[in-house]
Amino acid sequence: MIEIKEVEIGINANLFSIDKVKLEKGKLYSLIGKNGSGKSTFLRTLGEIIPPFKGKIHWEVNSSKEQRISFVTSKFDGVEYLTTYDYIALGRAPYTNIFGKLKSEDHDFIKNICDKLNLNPLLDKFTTEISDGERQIASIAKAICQDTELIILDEPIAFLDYENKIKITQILADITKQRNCCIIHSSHDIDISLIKVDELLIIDSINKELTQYPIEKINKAMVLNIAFPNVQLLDI
Amino acid sequence: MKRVICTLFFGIILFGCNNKKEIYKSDKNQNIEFAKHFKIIKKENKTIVSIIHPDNNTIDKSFYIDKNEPNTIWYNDIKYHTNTIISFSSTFIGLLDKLNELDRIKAVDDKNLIFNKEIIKKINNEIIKELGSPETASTKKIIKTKSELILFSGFGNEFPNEEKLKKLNILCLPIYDWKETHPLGKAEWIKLFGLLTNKEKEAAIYFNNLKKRYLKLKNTYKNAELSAPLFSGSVIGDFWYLPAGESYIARLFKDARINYVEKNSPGTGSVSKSFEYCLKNFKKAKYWLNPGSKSIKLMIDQNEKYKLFDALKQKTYCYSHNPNLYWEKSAIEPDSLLMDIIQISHPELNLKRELYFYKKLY
Amino acid sequence: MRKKYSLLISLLITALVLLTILHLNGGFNSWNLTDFNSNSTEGIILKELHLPRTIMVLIAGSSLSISGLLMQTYFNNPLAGPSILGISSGSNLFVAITLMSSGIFSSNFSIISAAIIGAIFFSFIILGFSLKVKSTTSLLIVGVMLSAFTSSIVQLIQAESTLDALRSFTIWNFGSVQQVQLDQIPIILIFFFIGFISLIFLIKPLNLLVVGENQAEFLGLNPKKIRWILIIITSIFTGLVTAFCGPISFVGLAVPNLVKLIFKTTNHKTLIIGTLIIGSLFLLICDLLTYSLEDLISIPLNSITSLFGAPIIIWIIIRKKWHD
Repeated sequence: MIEIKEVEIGINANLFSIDKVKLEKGKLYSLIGKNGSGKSTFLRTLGEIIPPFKGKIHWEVNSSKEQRISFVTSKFDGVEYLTTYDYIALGRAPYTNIFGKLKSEDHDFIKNICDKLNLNPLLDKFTTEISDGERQIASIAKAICQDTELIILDEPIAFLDYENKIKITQILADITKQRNCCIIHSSHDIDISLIKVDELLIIDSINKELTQYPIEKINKAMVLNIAFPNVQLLDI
Repeated sequence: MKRVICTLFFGIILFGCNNKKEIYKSDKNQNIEFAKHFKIIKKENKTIVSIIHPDNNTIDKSFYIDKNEPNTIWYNDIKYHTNTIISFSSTFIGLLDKLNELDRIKAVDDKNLIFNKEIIKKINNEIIKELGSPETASTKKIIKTKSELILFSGFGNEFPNEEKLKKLNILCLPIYDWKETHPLGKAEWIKLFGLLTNKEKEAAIYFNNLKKRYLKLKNTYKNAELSAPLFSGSVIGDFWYLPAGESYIARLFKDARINYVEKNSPGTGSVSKSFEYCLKNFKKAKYWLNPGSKSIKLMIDQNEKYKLFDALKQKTYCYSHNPNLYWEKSAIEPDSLLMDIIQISHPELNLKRELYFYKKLY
Repeated sequence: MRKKYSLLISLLITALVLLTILHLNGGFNSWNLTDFNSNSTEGIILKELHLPRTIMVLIAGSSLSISGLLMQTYFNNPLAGPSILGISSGSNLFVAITLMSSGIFSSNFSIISAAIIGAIFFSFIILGFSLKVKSTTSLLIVGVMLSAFTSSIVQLIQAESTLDALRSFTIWNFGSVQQVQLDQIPIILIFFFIGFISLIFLIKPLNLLVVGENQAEFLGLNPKKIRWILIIITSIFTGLVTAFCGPISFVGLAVPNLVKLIFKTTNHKTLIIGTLIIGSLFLLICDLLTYSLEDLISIPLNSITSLFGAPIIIWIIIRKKWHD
């Protein structure tokens, strides 16, 4: 669905180059790399916020950006007087008319997603009244409601507790299959990623390149070797 | 028969001379008849002048003039020369003009507020300096004029930097003529100016003649019909400022037999009223004085709602005074002012005189 | 939830209608029902004095409050007011220049034109800056600095002015809904209407901006376009009021905060309706007070809006649970 061929990623200089990476629907991708290696930059390039340093990213589909890509940030602090339902409903914005009116089909869609993600008890509460983990799930729900080909998440589980980390990663894996979309997230939780994702995208900061690895063909030692060459694997 | 006539003739002359002497006598007593904000006390060798603070009736400043030292005044044991004067009000120019002492003026506030052509010429030739208002006048410029006397319209406070100026031997005298509520009281300040300029006699003569003229005028028309309603002023922001019932202007109106619509309001200054109040009460008034513009079109430009007043709608009874002329001379020529107002408000008297201060607006 | 709003809005509209009628008839002081068409003095006062004043106070209250709402949503800052972009300081500057050149004899027309030209001129300056400046915070700072810079120029002008010009400028700064003439009302209504219609198309973008400009962009918002439209509409609303009433403070700041507190929603469809109504009510009540005390003491409109507005803001801040 998305082909990245001979592209360089960076803002003022090349942070790393990509020889060939293919992102497909129905797959969950995890982006791994050191701090400062350019994870956020890559995600922002994918999200078409900034252009690649060199080259172009090719999309199969040609629809408008808001119907192709949705972006979830790592932390959402909630907005006063914004209910969870209304927040999630914002995801339908690319499909509503000029006045933003939600049709009954939209409401059904939203309710369906909320149901699947067990968000129903939170829907009437303000986003400032629910927990961080709940807010993150709500943000993901919003992205799902946006019904895009690609969902990008920038360190979505970084601020959550272990239980929520597992829960959310599982949600992401389920959604890729159920909605046949492509999800990519950056993560520092290598262990969780190795269990739940389909492919890893690892940034090698020394050789300045990003390579794609299906999960069958990689293990933790390899990941550390490429992304964190100075770290020794701890035997517990 | 010839002898009778000669005796009568000489008698009249003697009588006339005696009268002159009598004027002198009242000079000696310096009976201040109308002004309330200054006092003159004559002693053996000196004349003491006290300027009275208008708010609390205490003495604001007191100075004296030594009979043997004209053109100087003594304040707090320091001598100040009055050969040159800095004037911060056009009224003082009018007063000094009557005494023929305009040459003493070395600085004024603003050329645009002056009427006297001579003074304007001198300003253009930089013989007289322009200092701006008291708040913005620069001390340096004041010192450069080499004058030792500043006359300003007192507001109850000291002149800005007064202490500093005193150290430089410059005296600041507040003049409260504007606070007087009687037209003759205002004019009577010429006596103080007479003392400053060694023209005591001339001042007294002028004032007495003025008093006679004014009172005669008032008397002449005291039985005239009360005029049609008259109001004055204009709106500033949302409010109209009108002369209060006990103010100097209201007194003039009374002497002119005018039906002034606000004659019953208390106070000696002005009252502020809402536009609606004024429209309600003055809409049908016939005469409108001092609307603050030079033409009816300008009045409407300022505020279109003025059109709602009958006086302007009919375009015949709005009168405005030439501001510079008014401020310079109205205090010292209240008889002309009174005559103007009587003439405007009593068309039935058919006076064929040309208005002095006022002009009809078209 | 809809039902809750309907009741509240009906109550507010009723209050608005009643107080408008009170205001139209002369306030608490001189309540006096008169026939519109009568040619008596009362009739003329009603038509030429009261009617423009009432219409103006409603338009001014709602316009300033809406501008405040737009700015607060766009900058995600509850302390943003309509003057935050510096547009009213443009009007201030041009009026100061006009008054300095002609003092107390400036015509009504020249002051209005100066205020409008100033607002338009400064809108262009801000639009220009907005092209170069990316983040909204930076734009806010530019606006605030522009206001500060203009204030110092105005002070300079004041230092060189005649006492007459100073007095006129001070009085202009008092703010007044009484200066407007009846024949100026139609054009004011036209511009208000234009601004009002555009609000309908702003509901969706504003609702998106609630979650921040970045997220809004992902949801389909065009940030450059929305920035331009917001600046232009704010200029129209604020410039209109400043031109005919002088600068009126605190309304645009306090009312949107009050509306959010009362309605407890971020949906701008409700917020806009609430702001229009409560904004008109707020200024109407302030002016009714000025009206009632008119014959006793002259209180500038700005004093009353500040006397009410500032405590409201303080109260809101104390009540708010800060979650940052």
